[in-house]
Amino acid sequence: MIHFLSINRLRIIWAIAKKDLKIAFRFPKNFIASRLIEPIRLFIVFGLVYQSFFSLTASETFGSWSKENYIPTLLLGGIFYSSFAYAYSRFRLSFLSEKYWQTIQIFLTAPVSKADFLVGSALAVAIELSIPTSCYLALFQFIYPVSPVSLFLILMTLYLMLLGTLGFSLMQGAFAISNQNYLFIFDYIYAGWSLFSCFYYTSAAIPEALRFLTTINPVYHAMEIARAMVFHHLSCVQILISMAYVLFFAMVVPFLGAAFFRKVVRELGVRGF
Amino acid sequence: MISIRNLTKVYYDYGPKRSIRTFFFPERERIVALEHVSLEVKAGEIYALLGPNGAGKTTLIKILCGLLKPSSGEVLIDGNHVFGAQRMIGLVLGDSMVYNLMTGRDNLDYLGHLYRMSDTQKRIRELTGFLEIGEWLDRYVSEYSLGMRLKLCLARALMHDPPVLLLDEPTLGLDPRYALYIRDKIKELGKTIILTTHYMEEAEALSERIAILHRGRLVAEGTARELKDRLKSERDPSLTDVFIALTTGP
Ligand SMILES: Nc1ncnc2c1ncn2[C@@H]1O[C@H](COP(=O)(O)OP(=O)(O)OP(=O)(O)O)[C@@H](O)[C@H]1O
Ligand SMILES: [Mg+2]
Repeated sequence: MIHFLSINRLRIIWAIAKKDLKIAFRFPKNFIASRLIEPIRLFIVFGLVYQSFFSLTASETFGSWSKENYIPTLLLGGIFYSSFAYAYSRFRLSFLSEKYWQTIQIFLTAPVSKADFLVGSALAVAIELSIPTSCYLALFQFIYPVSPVSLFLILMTLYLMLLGTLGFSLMQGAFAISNQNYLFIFDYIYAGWSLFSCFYYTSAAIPEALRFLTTINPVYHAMEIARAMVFHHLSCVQILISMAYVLFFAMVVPFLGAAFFRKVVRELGVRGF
Repeated sequence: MISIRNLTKVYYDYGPKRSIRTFFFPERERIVALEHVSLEVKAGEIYALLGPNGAGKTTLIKILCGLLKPSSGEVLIDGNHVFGAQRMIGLVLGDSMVYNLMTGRDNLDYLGHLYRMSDTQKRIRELTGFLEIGEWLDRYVSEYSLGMRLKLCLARALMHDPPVLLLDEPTLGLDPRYALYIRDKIKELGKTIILTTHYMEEAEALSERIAILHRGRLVAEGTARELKDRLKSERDPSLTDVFIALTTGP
């Protein structure tokens, strides 16, 4: 434990995060503007769909979704979805770039544990995403005020989900380094995973036979916890169980990702640079 | 200090041929980059690797720093396996391994932290004095000339003051005056150095021993004098003559 949190280690992690941030903010206007558009891209699309649904069918509700709460709910969906998408492709994009910049060798030869790189990058991602997240959570709070505790729970689940997703992203990083030919697999996984995370709709929209895929999906649980702050459709116990599952995801997947990464890169080496 | 025993490296890679058949059944090509190479480098020695393009010099350096896994054979650095010795190694791989999107100073600072240095700025000041790079260190690396990049790469390798330096073409593209200056500096360091170069005068001026690689095999090893003595046909041959004589043919 002492080693785990030693000052030296924290300095390394911060140096790694700082490096990522410096690269991200090399062209700051572009970076900030492109992060700000992400959460509202699909929010607008789904907003139109829900708006016409409620006005054309004269129904007041759709599960827990109603005329009154669909906008803040979609906004939460936008925040979670864009963060998930960013974290999911994070290591693929960064390792591919580093490969072509010919800087991946620094990462591969430095006497630093791969877990520290993961934590450093996660810190950078958290800081990068804090700009759009705080903007849109402020907007959310403005149109649908919730208690500070609820807001804290939303943020916590968001960041736990990010950590787990980043761990998974490290597996893609391994493929980006060692075998780019099979990177496409992760595009297919992404399509399924985001579909069954129900960012913009309820799990009722998923065919019954496939609904178990949402139940086993930790990102879906994270999304549900956040939505429960608006809908109040989950009991405290349900929230706790979901939270435990998300926590498990955030703790275990990064280790699996790091182990997988180490194994693949040691076995196959670097290809294509 | 560095011992390389019976090192062989074979690349298996998908060939460039594209057809419907190779899409489903890719053909792997087998490229032998190093074949049974053995050598010993003593502590404090400067050891030069010469060889034609594609001889396997960069491959050897990459194996020595742990970037590539050898197909067979063994590398020990001060008795340790490569992965246990990474902190002891300073690496220059041409002009790679620097971030264009950061300034030179940020690059050095980042590296210093990765190697757990406590005072990176002090070390950067030392290096800017030593290598005369202070003038443009705070500019983005993307704005550097090739020579400036190489100087930064050298500073990068020296940042954590490692006892072993692996330098792959460290003076490629430096002007003659600065190349001479760098050679003097490299000699001054008193570190164990393996360097590859295509400049014969550099190998002669810097290194105690020289090895010539040809098609992945070590074809000669010794001091410049010893290598020249192998060429009995000519009177007073230059190292270039030796190089050409030893690296023609299959
Ligand atoms: N990633 C790779 N995949 C397949 N073959 C490779 C790879 N890298 C190098 N080779 C092959 O290995 C051989 C040795 O290459 P290497 O880069 O070690 O040569 P070198 O001695 O450094 O040459 P140069 O003087 O031009 O830098 C070459 O035949 C090259 O084509
Ligand atoms: Mg080379």
